[in-house]
Amino acid sequence: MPSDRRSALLRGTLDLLVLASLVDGERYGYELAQRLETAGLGRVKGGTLYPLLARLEGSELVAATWRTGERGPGRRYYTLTPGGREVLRDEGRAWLRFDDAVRSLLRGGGVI
Amino acid sequence: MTTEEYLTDLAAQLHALGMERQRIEHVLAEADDHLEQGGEDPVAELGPPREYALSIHEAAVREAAAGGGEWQHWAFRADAFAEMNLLERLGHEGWEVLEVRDDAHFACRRHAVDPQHWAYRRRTSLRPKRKRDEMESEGWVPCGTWIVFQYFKRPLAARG
Repeated sequence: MPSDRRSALLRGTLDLLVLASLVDGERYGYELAQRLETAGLGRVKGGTLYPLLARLEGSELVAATWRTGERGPGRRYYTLTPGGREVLRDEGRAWLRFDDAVRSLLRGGGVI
Repeated sequence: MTTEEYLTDLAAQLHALGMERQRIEHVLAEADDHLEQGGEDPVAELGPPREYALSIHEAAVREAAAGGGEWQHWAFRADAFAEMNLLERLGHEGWEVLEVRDDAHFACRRHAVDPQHWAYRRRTSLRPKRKRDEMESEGWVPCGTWIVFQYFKRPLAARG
C-alpha cells in the first residue's frame, strides 16, 4: 500500500514537478529524470516521463527544441513557456494549500 | 529485447498508428538517448513497444487539440487491436468520430469550448443491417465501417 500511495501522489503532481524542474533553464528528458530522482522522488521511468512531456508540449506549457548533438544523433530540449509558468504558479499554490491542510490534520492526529 | 529490436518495433507501432515520419524519428532518437544514458532494459524502462507507442500517440491527440477554431478536426489511423481502447479515451476527451475511412482512418471532431463526451462500440457482423437496427434501438448511431467492423457512437449523457 505505501508504494501505491506514493505512486498516486506522484501521478497527481508529476506535471507540476516537471514544470518546476524547468524553471531554472532547459533540460532534456534524461536530465529531468535525474533531477527528479536527486530531489528524492525516486526513479521516474521514461515510459511515464516522455508521454507526460508530449502532453505538456501539446498543451503549450513546455516548448521543445531539437538540437543536433556533437556526438549523438541529437536531443530534444524542453523549456518552460509563459503559460507553463502561469500554470506552475497557480496550480503550485493550490497544491501548497492542500499540503497545509494535510499537514494540519496529520499533526492533529499525532503525526510529527 | 535489445535496444535496437525495441526501437525497430516501436517505429513499426508508431507508423501503424499513423504518426508522421519526422515525429517518429524524434521519438526514437529520444528513446535511444534515454536508454543509452541509463543503460536500462528498454521494456522495463519504457514499457512494451505497443503500450509506449499508444501513450505517445495519445499525447499527440492532445497536441492536435491545441488547434484553433470552434471545431477541432483530426484523423488518426488505428487497427482492430488498438482502436477501441483509443476510442474510449478519445470519447471521454470529447472527440466524436464522423466517419471511418479506408485503411482504418478515423476522422474526428471536437468542440473547442464545450465538447460532448462520447461512448463507442464495435460490432462484428456479416448481417450489418440487423446489427445496426439492434444498436439503433438502443440509441447508438452508426459512425463508420471498416472490413467487417461496424462502429457506433452515443453521447455519454444519453447512457441510462
